[in-house]
Amino acid sequence: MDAISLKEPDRVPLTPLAHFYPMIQKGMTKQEAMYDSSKSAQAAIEIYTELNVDQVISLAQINNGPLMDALGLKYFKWPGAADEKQKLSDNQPFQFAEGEYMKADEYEEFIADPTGFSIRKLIPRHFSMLSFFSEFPDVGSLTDGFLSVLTLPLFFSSPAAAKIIETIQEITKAYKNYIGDMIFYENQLKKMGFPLQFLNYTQAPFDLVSDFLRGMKGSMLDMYRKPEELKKLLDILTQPAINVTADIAQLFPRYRVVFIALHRGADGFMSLKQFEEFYWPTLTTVMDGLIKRGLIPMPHFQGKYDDRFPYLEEYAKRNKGKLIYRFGQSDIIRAKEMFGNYVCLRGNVPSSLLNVGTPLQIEEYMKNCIEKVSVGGGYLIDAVAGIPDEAKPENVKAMCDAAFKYGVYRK
Amino acid sequence: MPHLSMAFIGNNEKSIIKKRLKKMNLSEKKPRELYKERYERIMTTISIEEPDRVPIVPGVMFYPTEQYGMTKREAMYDLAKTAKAYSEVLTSLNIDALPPLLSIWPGELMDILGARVFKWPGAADENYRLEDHLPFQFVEGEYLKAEEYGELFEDPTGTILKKVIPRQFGALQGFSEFPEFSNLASGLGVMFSLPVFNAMPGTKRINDVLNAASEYFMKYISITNNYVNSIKKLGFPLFNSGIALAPFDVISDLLRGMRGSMLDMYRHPEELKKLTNMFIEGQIKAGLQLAQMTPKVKVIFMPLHRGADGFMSNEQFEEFYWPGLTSVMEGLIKHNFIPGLFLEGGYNERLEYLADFAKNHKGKVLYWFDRTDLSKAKELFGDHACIKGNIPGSLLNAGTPQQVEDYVRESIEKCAEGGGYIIDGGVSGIPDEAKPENVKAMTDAVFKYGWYRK
Repeated sequence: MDAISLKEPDRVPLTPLAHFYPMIQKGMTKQEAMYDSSKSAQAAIEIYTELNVDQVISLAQINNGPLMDALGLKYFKWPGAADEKQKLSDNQPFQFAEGEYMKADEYEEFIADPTGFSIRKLIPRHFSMLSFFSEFPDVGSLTDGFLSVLTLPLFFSSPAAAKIIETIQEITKAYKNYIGDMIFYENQLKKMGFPLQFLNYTQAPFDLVSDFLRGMKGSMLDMYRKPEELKKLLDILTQPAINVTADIAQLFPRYRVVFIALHRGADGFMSLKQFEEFYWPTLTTVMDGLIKRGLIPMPHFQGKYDDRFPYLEEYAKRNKGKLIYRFGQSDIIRAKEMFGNYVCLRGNVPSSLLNVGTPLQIEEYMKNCIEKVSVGGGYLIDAVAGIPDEAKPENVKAMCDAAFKYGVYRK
Repeated sequence: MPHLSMAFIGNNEKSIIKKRLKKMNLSEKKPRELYKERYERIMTTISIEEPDRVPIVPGVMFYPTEQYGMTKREAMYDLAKTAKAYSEVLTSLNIDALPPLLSIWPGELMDILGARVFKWPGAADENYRLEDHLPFQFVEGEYLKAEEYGELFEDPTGTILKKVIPRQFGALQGFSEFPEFSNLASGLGVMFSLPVFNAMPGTKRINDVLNAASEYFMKYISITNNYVNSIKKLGFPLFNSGIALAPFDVISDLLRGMRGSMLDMYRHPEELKKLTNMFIEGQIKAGLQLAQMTPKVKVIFMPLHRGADGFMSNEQFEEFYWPGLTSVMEGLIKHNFIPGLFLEGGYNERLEYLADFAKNHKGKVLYWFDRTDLSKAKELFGDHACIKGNIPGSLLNAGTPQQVEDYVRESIEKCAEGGGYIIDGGVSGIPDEAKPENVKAMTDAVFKYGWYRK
């Protein structure tokens, strides 16, 4: 917390993200990791405590196969999926399956009835097991006045409704198993003195649209062809995103950091002008909303954001000590110079180094990084994309050891 | 008061009925032929042609169950018996078609849903319970508040699910925790928000309620199907099936309340109109959903509430009430059904509107009047719309058989010419407490004076 509020703690905290690294170290396949959350929890506990990190990553990072099967998830492919179309081989990591889940001519429909459109159109497109949601009654049928006494049961007694209820029960069962293991994981670590990094996450509204509604291609085209509709959609998604995140935060008051993985805002995806027009305004509104509720947004600037630094700088100055910027391939030393006095930085040991470098290279990189970035607090050590699944253990160890060797402010 | 059902018990009574039927020259006809005759008599008159005789199709609510010795509570809770009462009491009247059971709301279903929109005899919840002999009543309320218009327009399904339904149905309060659309739209959000919603105590209750409601609904459907089949076997068609409402009434009855909707015409006219438009498709669908279960029955019942004279000016009627209503009517007509408006109260000031619609939909609409001047209606649009009504309830309750006979005769003289007329009572048809001898006098009078040709 000291590092976040820009004070010097005793040592630069070591807080790496990771996905499958601990499970692979324990000889599990990725398929096993996703399907046996209890075994994954054991593996992660052993590896993270051994590395002596300051905060441990939540298991949610690796997703849960049984839950995804119960939903018939269509927007991922993953090892061991029950559905052949989504299935990858046991040692591949899960992948995002881009799609135009909302068509270009459906903006109006979404905007006119967001919940209705989401239930009847998007959910069936995102989840094959929930295809029956398409028959969810429309607004008129939900409110027939006194006729509802008959028309509501008329829907409830339909095969579609029975199927919906049955599927949700299945999903809940899968979810409970999964959550049970997550709670075990958290409690075990807590007993051993290791707090979790965060549990809560949200998305930049633009990414929600790009990932789950229009697809990358669709959202990019819409900036030219349907700019007003796109902006309107971004606007209406913003406040609910804040509300939902705040609600979850209330359930877990110990975790104030909210992870926001950014996808399409990076250099190269859009021009600065487009970033300013489409991406940044609703993202900052979401972050404002979270900060106002005492939460700590942690945008993860995946890829390069060097072109966007002036925006990041301006926002950090307005919200000093209230958020974390986690960097991918951006120049973190330049970031420190520009706005390191206003915001805690997190990053950014390159994956390539951890995968194929030597411990010595890692140590040198870390030494340089800590020297330049840790001055005055406000630095958290992490790898670009977290610890890569296939990282060499000796390199990971070198990264962690370097934190203890070079990261000490005072003893 | 003798129960008509008794007539079916003694042999003596049976032979009297046989004699009566013989006298009416009907005894040799098989039920199937009678069914066809009655069905065609009605369809002919609706299409504004002269059948052999003016049809008589009285609406009812509790009249048959009262005659059968049932309380209103029993009628609402024992629908199988209610169906029997309807069938026995009404078929013994030798009328041309029977109403559906829809006028008697199923008490058990309303208990299961925890309906807050009615009070009724025998309700499980004391706060909504009336005495056994009282008819059910609407509970006027602002189920949607004036300041919630904006919210409703921004997210109609969400607001209805999370705010309105929990207020209308106590047992469905769990819907207030339904996930936010940002979670429903983002695949990741669904992954946890659906199970979390499902694991909430309120949702557990919803699941139980939905199971019980759909189980009961199946029973309900089988009772109504049996009813329709049993009267068909006796030679009687069902007159109407399905209900649709005027969109304004949907709002006034159970969203904004009467007071709210009346004020909104002044304070929130644009919102009110927009909301009215939102319920057009739903009402068409609601009407068709039930009606399509009995596709041969063409009339869809449309009881109107706030459109009557006195509730609003003609200007307001034209602006707020009529456009939504006619859109629903047109939707039903497009699907080959006949909107059967029940124009409760007086519609004397609205006759021009009714005439206008009738002229554009000749033979495709039916107007059932209560306290409207039928001769004027006949004069204005009798060549285009079938008129039904309006033997006064007061006469059937407290008049003499002779007075009833005279009234029916005069009505036939005024309205029957050229077809397009059906005899019925005014408010809700035969009043619950009508004298059986008056009801009989009404039927007999039709057989006495209603012939176009024999």
